[in-house]
Amino acid sequence: VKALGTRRAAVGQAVIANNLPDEVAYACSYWVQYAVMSGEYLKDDGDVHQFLTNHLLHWIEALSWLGKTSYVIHSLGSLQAIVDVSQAQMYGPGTVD
Amino acid sequence: MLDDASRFVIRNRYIINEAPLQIYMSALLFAPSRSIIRQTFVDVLRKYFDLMPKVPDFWGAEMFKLEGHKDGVESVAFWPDGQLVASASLDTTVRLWDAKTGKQVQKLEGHEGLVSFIAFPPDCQLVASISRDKIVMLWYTQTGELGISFPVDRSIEDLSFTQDGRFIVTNDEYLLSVSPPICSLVPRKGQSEPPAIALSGHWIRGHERDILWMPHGYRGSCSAFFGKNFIVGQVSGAMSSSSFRTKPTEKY
Repeated sequence: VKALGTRRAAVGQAVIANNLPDEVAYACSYWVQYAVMSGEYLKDDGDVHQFLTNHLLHWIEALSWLGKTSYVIHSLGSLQAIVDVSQAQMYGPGTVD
Repeated sequence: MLDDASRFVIRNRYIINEAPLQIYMSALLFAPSRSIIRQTFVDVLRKYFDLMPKVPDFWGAEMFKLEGHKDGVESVAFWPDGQLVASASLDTTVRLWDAKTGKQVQKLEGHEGLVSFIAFPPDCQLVASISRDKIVMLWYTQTGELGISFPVDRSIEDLSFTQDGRFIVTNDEYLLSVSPPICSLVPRKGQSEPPAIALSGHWIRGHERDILWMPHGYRGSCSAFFGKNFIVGQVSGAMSSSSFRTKPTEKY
């Protein structure tokens, strides 16, 4: 457990790598791409929604330690795109919020 | 929720990149009280705070802030394709930013004085800056390396490039030729067009009409426009960026 003001630069790469092993780092970085490639659309209370409700902050934190804050922004953009498509297909254009 | 999360990360990207655990503190504490993210994770805050400061109910108008400069921002410019933003600051640095994510991509250090103006030439991977101590520097945007620097014998009050990228247009009757290694002053012909949209006092003006009044806290010392996007540099060292829904034209 670290102090809340801990600077990323003050934490060694080795410490970060120990706590976020490659497979975790990989999952954090690429789950969105897999979600997008699966071709499924996001629904309220679906898996992605549930995951974000519980772990959004953890996910952001992990990517931030990895120095990939931008990746979160890109990923959220990708997810938004697959919500819109599903709404448009299911309800037709014009009903998308 | 996704839109909310984007705003949350974009608004706080500087601090969560610097000190990631501030996600659970500063980022959440100052998130709007009725944002989904604040409501979903409010229990985290309750672990640390009994009383929380009054914050707005909803996300503000500003989409994101570019933070990093240690002193006032004097000049901002968009790369000709709109993807990159450059800023010049009293902290003597020039910084380049990804216009989409707000990430700082280069910090250009070399000026000894306050950097007052900055501009991108069309169609080349350079950025030009000039400091109060009358040194012009040309930098490579890809690597952040200094290309050339040279002194000029007058203070320059403005900086932009001619369409062909060969000359720097300044405030006075001379153009600065920047075909390295020769940098010289040449007489200027004709007047350049004033920009269609610009920050003027507390207003964003377009086509000689006031379009948007900037409230306290959003006002800036300099601005840059690209299509419907604009960015305002502030004396605090922060810059805020927003987009009009459509490109501001005569109809505003």
